[in-house]
Amino acid sequence: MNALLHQILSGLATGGIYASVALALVMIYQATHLVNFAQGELAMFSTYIAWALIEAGVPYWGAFALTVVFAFVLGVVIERVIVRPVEDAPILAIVIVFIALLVIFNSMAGWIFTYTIKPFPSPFPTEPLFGNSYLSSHELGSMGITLVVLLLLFVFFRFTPLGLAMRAAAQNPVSSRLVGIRVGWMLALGWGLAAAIGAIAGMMVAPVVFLEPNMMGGILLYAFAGALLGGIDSPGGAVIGGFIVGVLENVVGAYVGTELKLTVALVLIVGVLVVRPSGMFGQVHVNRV
Amino acid sequence: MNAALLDVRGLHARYGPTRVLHGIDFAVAEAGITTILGANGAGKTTALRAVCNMIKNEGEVRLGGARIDGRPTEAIVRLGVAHVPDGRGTFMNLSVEENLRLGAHTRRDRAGVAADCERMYEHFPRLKERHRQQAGTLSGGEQQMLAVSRALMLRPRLLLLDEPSFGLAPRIVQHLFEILRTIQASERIGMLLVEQNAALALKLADHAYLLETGRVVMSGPSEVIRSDESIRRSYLGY
Amino acid sequence: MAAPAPPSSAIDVRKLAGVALAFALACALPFALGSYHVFQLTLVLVYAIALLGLNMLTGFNGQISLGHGAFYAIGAYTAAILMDKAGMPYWATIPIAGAVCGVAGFLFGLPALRLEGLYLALATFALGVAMPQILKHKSIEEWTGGVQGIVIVKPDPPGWLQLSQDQWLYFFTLAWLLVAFVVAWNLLRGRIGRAMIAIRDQPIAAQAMGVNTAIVKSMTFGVSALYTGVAGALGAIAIQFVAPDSFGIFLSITLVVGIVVGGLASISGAVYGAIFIQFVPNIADKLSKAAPWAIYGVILIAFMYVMPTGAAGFVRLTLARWFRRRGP
Repeated sequence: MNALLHQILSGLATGGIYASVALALVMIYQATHLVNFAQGELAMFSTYIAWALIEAGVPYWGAFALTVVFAFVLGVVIERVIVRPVEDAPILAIVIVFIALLVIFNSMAGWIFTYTIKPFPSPFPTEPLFGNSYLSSHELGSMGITLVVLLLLFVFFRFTPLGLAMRAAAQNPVSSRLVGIRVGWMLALGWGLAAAIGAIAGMMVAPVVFLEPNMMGGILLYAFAGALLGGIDSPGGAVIGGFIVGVLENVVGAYVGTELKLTVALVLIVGVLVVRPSGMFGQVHVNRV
Repeated sequence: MNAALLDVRGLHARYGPTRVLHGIDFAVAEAGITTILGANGAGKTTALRAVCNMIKNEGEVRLGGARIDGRPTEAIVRLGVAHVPDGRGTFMNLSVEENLRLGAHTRRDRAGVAADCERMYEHFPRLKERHRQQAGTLSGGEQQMLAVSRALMLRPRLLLLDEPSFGLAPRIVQHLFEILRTIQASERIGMLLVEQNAALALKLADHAYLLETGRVVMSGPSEVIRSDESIRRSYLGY
Repeated sequence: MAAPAPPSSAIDVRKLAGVALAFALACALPFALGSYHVFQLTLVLVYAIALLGLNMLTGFNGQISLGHGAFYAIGAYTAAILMDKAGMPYWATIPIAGAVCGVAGFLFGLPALRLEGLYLALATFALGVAMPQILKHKSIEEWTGGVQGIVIVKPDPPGWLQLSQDQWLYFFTLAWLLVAFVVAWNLLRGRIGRAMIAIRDQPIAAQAMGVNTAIVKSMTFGVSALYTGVAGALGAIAIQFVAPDSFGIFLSITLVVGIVVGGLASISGAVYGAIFIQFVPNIADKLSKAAPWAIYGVILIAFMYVMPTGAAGFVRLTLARWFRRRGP
């Protein structure tokens, strides 16, 4: 029983990471109906930037903040410069552009920072809080940061005019233009926020899995699974889905063996897509002829 | 006509390769109400969309004397043009109140926005009742009132209305048009009204254009058109 | 992105001459080059078959697959296991690998029927990412050799032919390439090919006109996987080695690069694409380990903006202009 609780709590910690990346994916999906295959590599690359800043002597939280800003700007620039020109192109072209971004960022990280695995510091103490045996301080801290980020986003979207404008632009770009919203820039902002969230997720995960260019591959897959499970057009659903996937991964991994984790994600993804594509909380879309 | 608020010359418009408007001219006077009439497919909705640059168009469109053609839709809106589109364009997943706040997206005066919101609720008490409800759950009539209110939240110089009476019960339509008349009188907003219901439109408007397959076949003061039986019979069907 | 028309039914004499010329060149090359280069050319042929398979699915039928490396892997492992564990001769493993992959592709294509564009890309992406882990799993380790993989013995040419091992493998693969191309060409210019293209361009209209979209789409998936599986088997034999980590998501992405550069919905494009994906890494590798991928990424984006019809489209345009100038 103890062990199961441990697995569940650990799963919630990693689930927080999946929930963040899943949220980033859903934010872009809601606005564009596109899945950003490059989300993981952007997060990984941002984490390398943080690493470089820390290596250069910048204190952790300073590097953290700078990295978040860097990621935000990077996201905005990518949307305006690379994604916008193809936004009306056939879906195959857009998918290919995303895959190209994935490949470019993966290789740039390898080129600039080499493929050797690097340790990444955690801002949290090494001793577990109150000496508890369930969660390390890092796991607890990660969860805390994830929850803070999610809360901030919720408040932003629900209660600020800009957040309202972004929601409107994602749901109904035509009507949004008719109230004067610059839809293009709302999209760019969405990409910026998504990239920033990804960077935070990357920095939380790197101390555990170590920093190397392929670090986010499996995580991206889990984030996809979580987003689909919760509902690819439901931010709340994506978050819940991410946590569920995290717990599932740990529990299944403990009892079935850890080597098939990615296969579990694959089965989840295909399963959800085939059985209930709108996920638990998403909207069922009827394709009109 | 006195100095025009909206002055359109030689407007061509097309959807892809299909030309819908063939060089039409029309205008809206400062604080005047102009209506564009015509049968289905005549190009009325297209004309409104072209003014807001929502579709491919060529020609000269002037707002208060300055050219606005070719500018992005959101820029035209920011110059004070509010468009109530056909289908109402409601933000279905957002609340009634959020829809209204979005109408005021470009405004900076918080107090003014709040006051205007209250004014809309006074005009349309049903909206006040439902202000926290998801807009998509409103009836057709309520959504139309919401759409008009949203447009008015902009405090526009020019209000474009695309078939506001469509699918609405006569009582609601009457209420709506009364409000429009009241607002137009007090705020001195110019209105361009596209309608299939010619009788209704001619009562409200002071000037009218008749559109047939993308061309203006008749224009003039609405009393003239209303009183001319032959025009009414052949073009307006009543 | 306007895709080029399907191969015309009429046999174009000029095209046939071009193909014959290319074939003659292909036959002559192994005698003019050293064994390592012959090996590289064999891999070009292998990739060409794989690209033909992927192109049938994505280019002609409009189903996006980011996971075709998985079918390549299944084909490769099938051949390796049959040779290593069952002692089967190399030439017998090819059709079996193709059949296994054909079935696997058809089965994967069935649930995929309900997935369009983006979602299919997502599902196949997951397949591509998960494959190496599946291959390494303990339960099948005694067959697959786990992380270390399987080593294959290089086949010898038949005694009566005066060829080196590499040359023989080259011609063996070339023969399969020929068969693959002829079958594909016939398939695509016939009724089924037209149905595939109709489904890509106007799925609802196609269905309304009586095309059984479900069968055609699943079948296309199966055939496409079959081709890629055959390529995988031939590749395994040429490289003499299979290991899980060579069949990850980046292999799937390489195949996508191949059809984009070569030309979507183009049969000849498979060859151009294969040449590209075989030789660019060779050259770029000298710059840095990361360079080939950076180049792939940039080229993908460039092609999407500038040359969506790929090299084949470019060649076709250039030739058309040249022939126009010279008169009929």
